[in-house]
Amino acid sequence: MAKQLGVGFIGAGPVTQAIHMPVIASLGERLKVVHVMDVDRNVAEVVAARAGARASTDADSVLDDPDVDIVAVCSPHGFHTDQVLAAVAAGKRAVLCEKPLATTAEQAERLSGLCQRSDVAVVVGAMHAYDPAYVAAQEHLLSSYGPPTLVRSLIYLPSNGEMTDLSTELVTAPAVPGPPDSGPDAERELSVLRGGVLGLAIHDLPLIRRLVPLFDDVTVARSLKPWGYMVALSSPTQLAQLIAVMPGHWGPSWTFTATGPGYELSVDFPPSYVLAGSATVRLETDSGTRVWTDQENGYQAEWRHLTDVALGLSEPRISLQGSLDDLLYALEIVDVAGGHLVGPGGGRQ
Amino acid sequence: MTLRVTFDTDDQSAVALQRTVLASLPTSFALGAAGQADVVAISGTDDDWVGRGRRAVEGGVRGVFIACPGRAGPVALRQLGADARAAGVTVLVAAAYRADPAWADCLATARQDLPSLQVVDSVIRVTPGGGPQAKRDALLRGVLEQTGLVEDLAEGPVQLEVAHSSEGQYVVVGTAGPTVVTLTGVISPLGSKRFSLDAVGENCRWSARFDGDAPARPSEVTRTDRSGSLTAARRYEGSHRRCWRLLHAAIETGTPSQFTLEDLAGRLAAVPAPFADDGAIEKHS
Repeated sequence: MAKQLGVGFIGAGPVTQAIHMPVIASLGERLKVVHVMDVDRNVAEVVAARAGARASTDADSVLDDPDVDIVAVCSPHGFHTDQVLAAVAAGKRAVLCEKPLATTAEQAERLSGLCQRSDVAVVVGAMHAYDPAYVAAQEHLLSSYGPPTLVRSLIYLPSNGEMTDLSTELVTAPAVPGPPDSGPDAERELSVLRGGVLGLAIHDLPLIRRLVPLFDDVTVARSLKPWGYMVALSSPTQLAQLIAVMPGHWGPSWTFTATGPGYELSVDFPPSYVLAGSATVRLETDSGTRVWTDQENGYQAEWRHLTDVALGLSEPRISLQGSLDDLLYALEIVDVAGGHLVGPGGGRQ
Repeated sequence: MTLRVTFDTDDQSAVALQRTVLASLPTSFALGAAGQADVVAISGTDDDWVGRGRRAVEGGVRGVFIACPGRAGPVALRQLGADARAAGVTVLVAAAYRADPAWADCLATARQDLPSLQVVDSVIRVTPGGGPQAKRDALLRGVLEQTGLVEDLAEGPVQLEVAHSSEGQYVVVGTAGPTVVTLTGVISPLGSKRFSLDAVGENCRWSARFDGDAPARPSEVTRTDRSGSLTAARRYEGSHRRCWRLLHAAIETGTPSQFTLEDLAGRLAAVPAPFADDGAIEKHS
């Protein structure tokens, strides 16, 4: 029987508790949570105890732990780059970094030095890029048909809390008041848009970049209430639209479509927080409709793949350079969109 | 009363479709010979469709049915509407999606929800006959259909501007009160018409799907909220048949048509560049 690999978490918030720990439990023969770090001691201890793991409140403890083979970076976005670099420097077998890998081009540049190293396996938590049904459909699409003219990512979600309650019993730290919401409207709107692109749209941007590698302009950039965005990327021959609204008092809907010469691809992704299997992918062509589904969701497939990578059984399906290119694509959207931003009331910022 | 219908169009696909629809209303309508018609059916796909409409009005018919309303000058349309009214001629501008029976059943509820909706997002897949001008015209008809449906929902005009336009697709964005509106049109890759509209707010979502070319293909209109979803009963009556029934009722009762030339003229006048930029709209004035 192959060795169970030890996983150490840096950050034990809702994504760790509600997504990664249930997924790792579903792959229990291959992975075991051995260390949980969170800046809140109670959160770290309670979450660690659930997995029979050690608890700590500083990231170095995870990196120094010899039982940790894979580091999962699930901290606030601004820490990701430093912690990925530290995990690599600590000689860990592999790193899973929650999205985004970095929040600025400067941070991305610091990570680019790792791309030449063959001994480094860094994978970004972009679950849809690993969804087995989507991956199979995309390979078929790209090998059989031309590029799409229209790509759409539509995300309508209830509150995260409503979904995390379905996958775990969340333990939380006492709420820390955020900064006062008193900045100029333009700054607030840009912040919402930036957060939307780097925090939510980024799940689908690797898919979009594969289908729409280049865009000339961001022709629509709006923030939406209660929280969300509407963005359109365009080139002379291609258009990509991204819309998200949350939270709403209705069931989740996360769809992705690609319309091209002779085909319509439609993808219905399950909510991220529950183990509801893969997306359901339909490819409609003149010759009929083909459907792809799988028992595993993208996170399960990603962790399974990461385990193979850590054991040297497989090369990363998405290289670090590929992940950095996805990130730069997202950062370019944010940069260009900032110049076109229109607030929810329709006024240009 | 059975009204006799003749066609004055070069668009044979429009003739074929409307003949099929009329065959399902044999008491209300019968095909008649030229010069003996009560109703003339024309198609907005013809370059000179406004002129054909004028000829019908001046010919003394009781009604004019305009299938596939498209490119025309708003001034000329308003004049034709006024002349038809003065002559006692009822003109109905067929609406491919606005007139859909299931959508009409839900419209009042959707209007109540609109102020709380954040986004109205519509995509139309159109099927042009061929050639760049045919594509442009088909996309123009698409944005007219979308605008008409959204204005019906908003009960007023919607301010729109083009965010993207290329040979085969467009994105138009704007606002209807507090609601952001985005209208996307694309040439159908599979040769079939499709129309979708999603409207999303914090408390409810609407989804309307109008798929396929069959005259009686039912649409699917669903409202979803925290208690679940409700899909309107399937109505196996297409919007064309409903439009013919509306025209018959309007002629019989002498009441105004629900979908008018003035309404179409208003939407054409508001069509944002570049749909109007090539001068093709105003040259028809």
